[in-house]
Amino acid sequence: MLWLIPLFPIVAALLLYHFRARSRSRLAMACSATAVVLIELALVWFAEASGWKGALGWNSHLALTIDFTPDTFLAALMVPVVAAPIVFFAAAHEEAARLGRLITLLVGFVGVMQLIILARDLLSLLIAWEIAGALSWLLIGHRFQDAERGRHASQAFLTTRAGDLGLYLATFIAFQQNGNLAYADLDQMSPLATSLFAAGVTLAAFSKSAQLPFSPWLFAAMFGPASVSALLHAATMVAAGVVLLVQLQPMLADVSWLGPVLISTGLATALAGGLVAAASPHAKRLLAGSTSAHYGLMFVAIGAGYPAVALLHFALHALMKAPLFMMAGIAGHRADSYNLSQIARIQFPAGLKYSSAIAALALAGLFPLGAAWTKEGVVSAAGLVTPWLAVAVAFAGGLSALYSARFQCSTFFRHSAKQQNDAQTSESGWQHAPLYVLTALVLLGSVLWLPAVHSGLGQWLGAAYPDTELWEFAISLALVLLGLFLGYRMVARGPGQGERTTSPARNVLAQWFFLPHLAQRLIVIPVDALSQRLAALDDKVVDAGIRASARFALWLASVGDRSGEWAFDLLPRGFARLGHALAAASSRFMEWLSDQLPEAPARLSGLAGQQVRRLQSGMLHHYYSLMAVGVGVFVLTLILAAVKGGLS
Amino acid sequence: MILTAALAVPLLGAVALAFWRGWSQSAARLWAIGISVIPLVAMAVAWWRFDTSGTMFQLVEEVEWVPSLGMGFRLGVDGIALAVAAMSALLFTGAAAYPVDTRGSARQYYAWILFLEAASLGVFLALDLLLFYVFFDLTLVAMYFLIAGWGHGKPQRAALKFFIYTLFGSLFLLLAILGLYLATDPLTFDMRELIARQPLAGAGAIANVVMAAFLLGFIIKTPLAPFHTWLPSAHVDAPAPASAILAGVLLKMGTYGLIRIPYSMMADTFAEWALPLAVLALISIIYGSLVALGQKDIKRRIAYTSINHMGYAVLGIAAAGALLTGSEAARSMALTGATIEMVAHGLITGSLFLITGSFWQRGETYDFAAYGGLSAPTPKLAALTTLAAFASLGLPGLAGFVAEFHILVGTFGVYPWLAAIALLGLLITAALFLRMLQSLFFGQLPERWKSMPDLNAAEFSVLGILLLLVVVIGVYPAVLIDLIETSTGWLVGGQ
Repeated sequence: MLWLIPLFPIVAALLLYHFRARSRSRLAMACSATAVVLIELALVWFAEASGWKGALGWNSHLALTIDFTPDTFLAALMVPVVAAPIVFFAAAHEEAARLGRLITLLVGFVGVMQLIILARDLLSLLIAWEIAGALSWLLIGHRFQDAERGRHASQAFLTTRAGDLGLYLATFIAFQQNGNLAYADLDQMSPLATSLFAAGVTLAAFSKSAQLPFSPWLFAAMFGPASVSALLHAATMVAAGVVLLVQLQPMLADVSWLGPVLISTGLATALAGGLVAAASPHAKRLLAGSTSAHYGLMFVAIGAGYPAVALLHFALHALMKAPLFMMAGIAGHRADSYNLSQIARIQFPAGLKYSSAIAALALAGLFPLGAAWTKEGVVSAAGLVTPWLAVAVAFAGGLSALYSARFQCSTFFRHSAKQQNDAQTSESGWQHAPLYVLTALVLLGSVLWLPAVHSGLGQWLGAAYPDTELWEFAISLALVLLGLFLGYRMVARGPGQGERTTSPARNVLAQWFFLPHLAQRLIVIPVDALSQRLAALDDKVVDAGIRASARFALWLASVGDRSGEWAFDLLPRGFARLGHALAAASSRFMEWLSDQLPEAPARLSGLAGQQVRRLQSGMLHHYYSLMAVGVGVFVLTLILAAVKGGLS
Repeated sequence: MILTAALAVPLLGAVALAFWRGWSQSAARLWAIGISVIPLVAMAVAWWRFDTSGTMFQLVEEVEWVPSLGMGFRLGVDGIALAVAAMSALLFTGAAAYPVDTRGSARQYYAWILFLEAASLGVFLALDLLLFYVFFDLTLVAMYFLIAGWGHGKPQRAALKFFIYTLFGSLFLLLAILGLYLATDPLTFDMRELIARQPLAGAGAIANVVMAAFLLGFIIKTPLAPFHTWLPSAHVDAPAPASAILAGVLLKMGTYGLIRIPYSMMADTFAEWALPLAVLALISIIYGSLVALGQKDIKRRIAYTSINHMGYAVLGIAAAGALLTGSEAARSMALTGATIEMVAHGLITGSLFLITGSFWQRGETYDFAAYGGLSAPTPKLAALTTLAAFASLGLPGLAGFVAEFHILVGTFGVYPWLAAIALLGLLITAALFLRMLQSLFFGQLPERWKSMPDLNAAEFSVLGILLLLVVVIGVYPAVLIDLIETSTGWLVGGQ
C-alpha cells in the first residue's frame, strides 16, 4: 500500500495532463495541482499512522522495499508541504505555453522524490535517484525554443549522472558483500568494502546536492522557470544527497575518513558558494550559490555526527528558499531581467516585499527565526570538532547574511530610481498567496528556539543536539549583523550591482571559479576530440573492410569458377588462399594505417567502388559459389560422419 | 505444433506473396501484418504454457530425419529462447506495420519480411544444431535483398558488405558446429544431448580451436569491436524497418548463439575464454559509445550504440560463464541481465530505428544538424523519441536499466574492475543521446520544417506498443525475469 505515496503524484500528474493541459483557467489548474499535492501530504500522514509498507520483488535476489523511519517521515512531509505552494505558484505565474507539461512534471517530481526518501534499499533509491535527474533535464529544458537551455539541461543531467556512477558502484559493492541491497544489512560489510561504499555514496550525494566540485550544475539549472528552481532547490533533487547521507551516516560511522571529508567539502562549498552568491549580479544565480552553501552546512553537520541537525536545516531551508525563488521569479518577470540592478528599478507591492524580507532574514540566519537555530546547531556541531571550525561556519553564515541582504535590498530600497511598469498590473492578489503561506511557515519555524519544541522533536527523531556555547552564538550573531550591514552597503553604494563585470575577482566568483570552464577543458573537449578521431578512424576501417571483403568475394568467385574440381581438393587449397588473402589484407591495412592516413580516403573509396561494381554484376553467381562451399563442407562432414559411424 | 506453426505460417505467407502476382500495395501490407500477428500469438500461447518450474526445454516438437546421423527437425524453447523469440515476433509485426516507401514493389518487400521472420524465429526455436545453422544463414539472404532492394544511399554496396562479412563469420560457425558434431558419439545434432554430454570437455587443443571458431562467428554477428565494421553502413543504407529488424533481431542471434552453443555445450572451455571475451566486450562498450558520440548522422549514432549495448550483453554472458562453480547469485544475475538486454535492446533500438525511418520519410536526411526545434510541430515524435533515447541511455524505470543493472551487478561479482570501467559507458551514452535530442528538438525551428507532420496513427501505435513494453519491463521486470530465471537456474547452477 505504501507504493501509493510515490505512485499517487505520478499517476495524478498524468491525469492532470490529460484533463487540464488545455484548461484556460489558471486558477482551476492551480487548485487542482495543489489539491493533488495536498492529498499526497494527507496520504503520507495517514500511511505513517496506519503503518503501511511496500515491497516488490524483481527476481530471487532483488526486491524494492520502502518504509518510514522518523527521519524519512519528516522529510516525506516536508516535500509536499513545500511543493504545494510551488505548483500553485507555477500554475499562477509561468507562461501559458506548455503550462500543462510543466505542472505535470512538477507534480510527478514530488512522487519521485518521495521514493528517494522512503527507499529502504539501494535499488529503489537508484531508480528514483536517476529518474529525478531525467525529470530535472525535462524541467530545465522546458522552454525548448532556446537551444542554450537544452545545453544547460544536459550539463545538469550529465554532471549529476557522473556522480550517480558512484551510487552504482556502491550498489554493486553492497550486493557483492551481502547478496542483497537492503539498507538494514549495510553494516555487515567488510571494512574495506564499507569504505569504498562510503566513497561511492558520498560522490553521488555531493553531485546531487551541488557540492564542490559539482556545484556549477545549479547555475545551469537556473535556465529553467523560477518554479522549477524553487522545487529543485527547496524540496527535491538537491535535497536528495543530504536526505541519503542523513539516513546512511549511522551505518558508516566506522569509516574514519568520512567525517573529515564531509566537513571539509561542506565547509569549502559553504564558503565558496557564499562568495559566489555575494558576487553574483544575477538574482537566481545568487540564490543558486546560496543553495550550494546551505547544503554545504548540512554536510558539515552530518560529518560532525549530527544528521538530525542537517535534516532540520533541510526542512527550514526548503521553507525559506522556495519563497525567495518565487520572489525572484516575480521580480525577473517584472523587470524582464534577473539582474539585480534592473530589479532595483521596479516597484513591488508591500506585501510581497515584506514577506520576501522575512524569508531573506531567515536565509541570513537571524535570531529568532527557525533557520537561525538550525544554523547555530551546525556551528556548535563544528565547534565540537575544533573551535576554529565553528568560527569558519559562522563566517559562512555571515556571507549568507550578506547575500540575503543584497538580494532583499535590491527589491526594497532604491525607490528613487524606480519606474512604474504598467505591463505588470494584470497580476492579482491570489497569485501571491503561495508566497504568503510559505512565509507564514517560516515564521512558524521560529518555535524551534523553544526548548520544549526542539527537545521534543529530538526525542521523536531519536537524536541529540550539540550544546551551543555562548561565545559561538555571539560570534554568529555578530557576523550575521555585519553581513547584513555589508550587503546593505553594497546595494546602497551601487557599484558592481549592475553591469556584468566590474572586477576580475568578482568575475571569477560569478563564474564559479571557472569550474565549468575547467570541466569543459579537461573533460568535455578531450572526450569530444577523442570521439571525433575514433569516428574518423572507424570510417576508414569501414573502407578497408570493404576492400578486404571485396577481395575475399573475388577469391570465392574464383573458387566457384573451378567448382568442377574435386571437393577434397578444393577445400584445403581454398582455406590456404583465404589465409593468404586475410594476411595480405591485414598487412596492407597496417601499412596504410601507418603512412597513408592523409590521402587514403579518396583513393580508397574509388578503389572500393570499382571493385564493388565488378562484384555487383554477378551477385547471384557469388552467392551460388558460397553455397557451393557450404554444401561441399557439409557433404564432407557427412562422409566423415558416416565413416566414423561405420567404424564404431 | 505451436512452434512449427510460428515458422510455417510466415513462410507460407511469404510464398503466397511471392507466387501470386495480384497483390495491391495495401493488400500486401495488410496481409503481412495479419500473417505476422500469428507467430506473435503463437509465442504468447507458448509463454502462457511454459512452466517456469519445469525442465529446461519445453514445448518440444521433434521429427527424426536421418536418425543414424543424428539429424532431425527439432524445435523447442527454454526461457531465454522464448523471451527473445517473443520479442522478435513483436518487432516483426511492428516492422510490417510501419509505413515505408516500398517503391512500387510492395509484394516482394513484404514477402522478404515474412520470409525473414520465419528464418529468424527458426534460429531461436531450433533445438537442432544443423537446423540452427540453416536458419542462421537464411536470415542473411533475406536481409541482403531487403537492404539491396529497398535501401537508400549506396544500398547494394552496403548489402554486399553485410552479406560477405557475416557469411564469412557463419563459415567459421559451420566449421565449429561440425567440429562439435564429430566429437559426439553416437552422432547427434540434438542440442539437449550436446548440452548434457559436453562432447569436447577435456579435448584440449581441438576444443580451443572449435571455441575460437564459434566465438569468431558469433562475435561478428553480435558484433563486437573490432569486427563491427559491416554494421554502420548496413544500418545507414537499409530501409528503417529492416534496420529495426537487423538491430532488434539479427544481432541477437550472435548473443543468443553464444549462450546456446559455446556457453552451454562447452562450459569448461568457455570458462577459459571468458576473460578475453569480457575484455573484448568492455572494449566494445567504451569504443562503441565513443564512436557513436562522434557521429553526425542519427542512424549511424544509433547503430554504434548497438555495439555498446551488445557489449553489455556479451559482458554478462562472459561473466556468467567465467566459473563453473561459485558466485552463483552474481553469475545468474549476469546471465539474466544479458537476456533482458537482448529483449530490451530489441524493443528500444528497434523503436529508435523505426523513428529514424519517420525522420527519413519527412526530411530525407539523417543529419541531425539539419533539424531543430521540432518539439513545436511534432510533439508526439519528440515525446516518443525522448522516451526511447532515455530508455537507451539506461534510465531506471525503463527496460534498458533493468538489463544493464543486472549485468553490471553480476559482472561485479566476477570481474569487479571490468564492471567499474563499464560504468563509464553509461555516462557517454547519456551524453550522446542528450546531444542528439538537443539538436533535434531544441532551438529555433527552421523554416523548412514548419509544416512537418507529426507521427501518424500507424507510427504512433507501433512505437507506442513497443515503448509501453519497455516501460512495463522497466517497472515490473518480474514478468520477464521469472521466465528467464528458469533457464539461468539450469545454466548457472546445473553444470
